Amino acid sequence: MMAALFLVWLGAFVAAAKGRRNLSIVIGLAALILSLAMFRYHVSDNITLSL
Amino acid sequence: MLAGTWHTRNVVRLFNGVGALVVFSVVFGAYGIQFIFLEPPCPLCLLIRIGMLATGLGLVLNALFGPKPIHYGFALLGAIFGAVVSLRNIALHIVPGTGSYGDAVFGFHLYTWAFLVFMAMIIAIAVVMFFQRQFDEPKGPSPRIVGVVAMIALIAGIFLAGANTFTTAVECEFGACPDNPTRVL
Repeated sequence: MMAALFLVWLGAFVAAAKGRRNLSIVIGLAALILSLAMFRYHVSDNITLSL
Repeated sequence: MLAGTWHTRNVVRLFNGVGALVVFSVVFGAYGIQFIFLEPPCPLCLLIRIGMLATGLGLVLNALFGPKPIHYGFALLGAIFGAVVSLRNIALHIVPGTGSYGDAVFGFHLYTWAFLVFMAMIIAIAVVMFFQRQFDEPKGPSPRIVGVVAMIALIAGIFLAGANTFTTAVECEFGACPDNPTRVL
């Protein structure tokens, strides 16, 4: 799953290399949302912090 | 290489290109530690690399196409994402006796360094955005070095995203990455 996420980021960089600025931003934003979901997946629920 | 119009826009483009290279050099450093000291990256460490790539992409877009608020916004979102992930990684080990992940480099662990880098990027981007004239179109040609640095940063970003796709696929085998990985590649 994480490898697929890096692949999406690669797509954003390749779009920038091809001069597709807007496409690069759209792919990047989608990748950022997917990265947030991945972060949530890897944050276990059994750890609490007392601040 | 240096001939051309040194308009604020071109200076800021060069600054963004150098900033992207700085961010990518941190990921290169993490790669070095992964393969030289044989330390496999944890899932949060991989997400921190993604935060670096996201920040770098925003800066590369500025360097390639000229500074735009949307590029800065993207870089800031990436830096904030990376800072949150690295802060989470720090919090996991903040209680004395809970251990740490990986070896310390110059006194700090990599996720602590990553947090400091992300905070420095957020502050640097906020300061650079003060220069209003960067959003104007310059009349003369850009110095060649601006485009060269932007292209080097872009190639570095493509290489890092591609290389991480490959090494992460080998490490995690297209499933969820293990919390305590044992294999480097």
